[in-house]
Amino acid sequence: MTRLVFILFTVLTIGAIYVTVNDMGVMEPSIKKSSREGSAHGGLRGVGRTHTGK
Amino acid sequence: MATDYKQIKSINCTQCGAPVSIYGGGRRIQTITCGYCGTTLDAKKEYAVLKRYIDVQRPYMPLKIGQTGTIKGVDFTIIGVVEYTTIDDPSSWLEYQIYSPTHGYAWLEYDQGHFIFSHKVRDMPEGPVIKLARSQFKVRERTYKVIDYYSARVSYVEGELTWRAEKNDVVNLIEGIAPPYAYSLEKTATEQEYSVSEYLPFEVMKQAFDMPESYRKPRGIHAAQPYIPSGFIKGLVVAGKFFVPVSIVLLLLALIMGSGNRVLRTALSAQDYLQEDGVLTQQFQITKPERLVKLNLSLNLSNAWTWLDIVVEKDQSPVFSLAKQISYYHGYEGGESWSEGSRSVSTYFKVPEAGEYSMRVFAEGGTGERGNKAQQKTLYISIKEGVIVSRYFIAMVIVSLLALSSLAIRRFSFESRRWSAYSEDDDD
Repeated sequence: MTRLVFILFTVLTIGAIYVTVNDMGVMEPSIKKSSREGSAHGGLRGVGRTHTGK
Repeated sequence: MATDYKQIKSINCTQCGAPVSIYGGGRRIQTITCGYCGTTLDAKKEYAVLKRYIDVQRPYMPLKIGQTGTIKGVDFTIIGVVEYTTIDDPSSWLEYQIYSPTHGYAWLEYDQGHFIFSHKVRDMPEGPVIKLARSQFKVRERTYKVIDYYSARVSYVEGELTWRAEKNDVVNLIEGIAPPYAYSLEKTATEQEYSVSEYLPFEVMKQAFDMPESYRKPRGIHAAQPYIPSGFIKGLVVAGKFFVPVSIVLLLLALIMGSGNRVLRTALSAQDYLQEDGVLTQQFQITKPERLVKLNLSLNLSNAWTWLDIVVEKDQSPVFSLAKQISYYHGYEGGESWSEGSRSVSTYFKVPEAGEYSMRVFAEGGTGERGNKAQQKTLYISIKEGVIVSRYFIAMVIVSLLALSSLAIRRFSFESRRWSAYSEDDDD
């Protein structure tokens, strides 16, 4: 069982190194926007306050 | 290992005539109780009838009288059994009287599928034993914690016993534990006795009495049950010891090597970035296009939101666009302060090639719940190149630390369940 857990952690560590070196899962996707035409995210913008209080 | 016991003989019950096996329980045997009619016979007076019970229900017994087994290297024969039932709640357990011609008498307790080996001792506690959960007392260099105190009555008797056990006899008990050991103070109407017990894992009982696997059915955690970590937990601890330092080193390397170089630090006024055409920042130099660029945006908003559209340009042509919202709300309601959102955001991107870049920033915003006028705050921009993210190594450090502490966590959980089971009983 110890060997199995060691293998699992080795895979996790190598995976962490791999995704870090290749900058995976961290980059912002570029959105097409070349001029002032309002937010490219449309209706998502300006959600304002969502807190409903206690 | 099971052995044949050679001293077996039989009598006929002087009450019902049924054959009653005598397993040679030694000279201290006081009574024999017939398993057929429930009559207790006096072993010292020609098996005269001492007590007669009618309609006695035999409880479930995983071990039978006459069975032999080897416990701690000693051959024992089961010669009698007593069932106790607690007075406050209907839980019952069996205590088998076992006998060895060389080592004398002992008890084998069967409680909710757990087995406990015990024997009477003359060692008394050093100091008073207080009826208070977790209070401690010492017996022969071993410290016990009081876990339970209760009264029980004898609800079934069968076979040979070294004492006159009668149905409905009451015993008052105080139990202390130092798993896998337990120490009991038993007080009856006539005497006080002390016994030391040791929890026997099922594997030991299986080997000792050749018990089938189907008998492995312990329920809950026994008071004296020690915590035995599984192979998986042991593996996690071993892995944790190795991978905690490894992941910390990787994290430090990522932090040191990936902190990046600042290529732009600027502040934009609200009048500039809120105008229709936005505002262009100063140029900044990217020398490592294969590495991440980190953009940090800060606005000191108060109960407001600002939507930022950002276009990264090279030679006045857009190469990358992104949008981010900064919103921050706070207040005091119901006697508590609350806050929501953040006054700064960060994001990562890459540019296609080395060179001079600039950013055009547009924005709009609002205040309160419905206001559509942006709050006039200075926008602070910071850009770093050559950044390495450390989030995956932080996750590895956390996972490795959890693995390292899994034994302590499991042990804590086990102990909590052990003590809560008895606390609940006390609350009843």
